[in-house]
Amino acid sequence: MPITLTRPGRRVVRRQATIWALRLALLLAVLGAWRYANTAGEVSPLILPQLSAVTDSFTQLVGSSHTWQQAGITVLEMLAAFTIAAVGGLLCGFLLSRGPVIARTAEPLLAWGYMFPLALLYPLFLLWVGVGMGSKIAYAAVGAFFPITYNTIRGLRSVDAKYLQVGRAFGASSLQVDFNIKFGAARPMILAGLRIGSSIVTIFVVLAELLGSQKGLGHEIEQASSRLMIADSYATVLLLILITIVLQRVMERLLRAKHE
Amino acid sequence: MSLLTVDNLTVKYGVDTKDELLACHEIDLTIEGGEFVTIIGPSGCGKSTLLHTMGGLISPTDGAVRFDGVPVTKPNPRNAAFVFQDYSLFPWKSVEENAGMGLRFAGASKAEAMSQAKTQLEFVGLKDFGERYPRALSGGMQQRVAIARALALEPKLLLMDEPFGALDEQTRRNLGTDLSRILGEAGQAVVMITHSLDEAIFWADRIVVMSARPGRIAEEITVETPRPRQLEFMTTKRFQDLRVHLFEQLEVHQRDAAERDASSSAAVV
Ligand SMILES: Nc1ncnc2c1ncn2[C@@H]1O[C@H](COP(=O)(O)OP(=O)(O)OP(=O)(O)O)[C@@H](O)[C@H]1O
Ligand SMILES: [Mg+2]
Repeated sequence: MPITLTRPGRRVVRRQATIWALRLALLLAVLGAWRYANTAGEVSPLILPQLSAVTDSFTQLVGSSHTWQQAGITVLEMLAAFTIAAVGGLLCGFLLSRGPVIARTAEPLLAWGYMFPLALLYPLFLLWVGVGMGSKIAYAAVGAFFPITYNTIRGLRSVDAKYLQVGRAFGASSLQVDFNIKFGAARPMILAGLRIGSSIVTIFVVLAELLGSQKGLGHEIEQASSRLMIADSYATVLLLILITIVLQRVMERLLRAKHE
Repeated sequence: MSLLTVDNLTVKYGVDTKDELLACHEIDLTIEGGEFVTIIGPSGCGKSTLLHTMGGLISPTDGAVRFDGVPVTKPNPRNAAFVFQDYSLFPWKSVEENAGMGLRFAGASKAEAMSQAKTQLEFVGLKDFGERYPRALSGGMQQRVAIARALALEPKLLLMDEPFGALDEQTRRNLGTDLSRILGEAGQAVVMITHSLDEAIFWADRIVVMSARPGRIAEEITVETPRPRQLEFMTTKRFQDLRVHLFEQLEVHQRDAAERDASSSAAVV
């Protein structure tokens, strides 16, 4: 018994090690290519700054309270947008799923809203809500609302009939059917919607900050590049990537079903 | 008065569509309190349909089902509780929650449901699996959870659709013996669909043989030997005679079905 248990375990560990080795190799290759491109006469420093300049700039950024204030604003916008989209999406999805006709009408509209290049509408958000945090939050919340609502409706409406039959056989109330059966069965799909929503939120917030704002990391990037402070701009992008990775990881952790 | 009466029951699927299908045809059947009835018949003959109609999950197209003399219009799990053919456990609930879910749905408090769930899981031999999720269980273990879920209601009648299908001989016999004993003690009745000849005879006070679709009752056989029965019953002449008889009956019905299907597909060509 212990033998059959440790073998797959070891194999998994070995595979993990391989994966990390490959990732490291890729990172080194990218950095190597960067260093090479930096050598005189290869690529203009306006396009690709010196690697050392970026790392210097990065350490400076991380040490500055101004950066963290901006990062705080960006993260706050992301969290607020996600919360609004999640609450609104779940609620709308639940309500819309109740009427078969309404649901059939809503589904294609939501799918379409998800496909639509919402970036085209960002100027309108600026008009309506102003250049402050509100427009970023509203814009990202709208973007994430569509996939969350869509997945919630689809999930609630595609519950296997055999589970509903159990509810009927044991006399479940409609509240019990909703919460113990439908939401349970739809959970994987709803969680997938929330995961999509959370990545949309991160993308949209940054995009909105780049396109027009006075605060946030996106704004910092925009400022740095318009002043041709390319190294700063790269360093801020790096910081933003790290922050979104952390946020995404936390979301993934929170949004995983127990039985999956 | 009989516990449950099925009176001239006809069930059709897809009435008034081009896919209309006659699943049960003019069935009469009574179940007495405390009785153990097995139903056997060819696949697709309408056994599950009959069972679901007895428990109020399907409305009769014609005829009636009465429980304690009252027409059954919707399921009442304290009267008749189901064990479904495909177990139908909720993968998002733990085994213990699943076992208690029937009672919760029937209106019991969480505490009562959980304590009953524990008791019944212990009875079906899954005491240590309460925290697991169904996907971590074998098919036979999942079936036992479904049995526990139904038993938790302490119903007057247990409607079981091939509840031992995924169990090995040994487990099947042990669980069957225990089940038959406790149901007997509590005076609970059972209707059990099975594909196993031995099972159909061994547990039954009465065997209902159904013909190929449209399902009718071809024959009812009373097994007089008192329950609980010892394993030796299976070696008696009566058991063997019954087994041969059932085997031949099912052969005939199976052949009928095959011939009918052949001729109808020939007609299509
Ligand atoms: N919901 C449904 N809609 C339409 N037809 C159905 C439905 N359920 C069952 N049928 C059909 O009714 C007939 C009887 O089905 P049923 O499930 O009662 O058979 P069964 O005797 O339980 O078969 P098995 O032994 O394979 O479980 C079959 O031909 C089946 O295709
Ligand atoms: Mg069946």
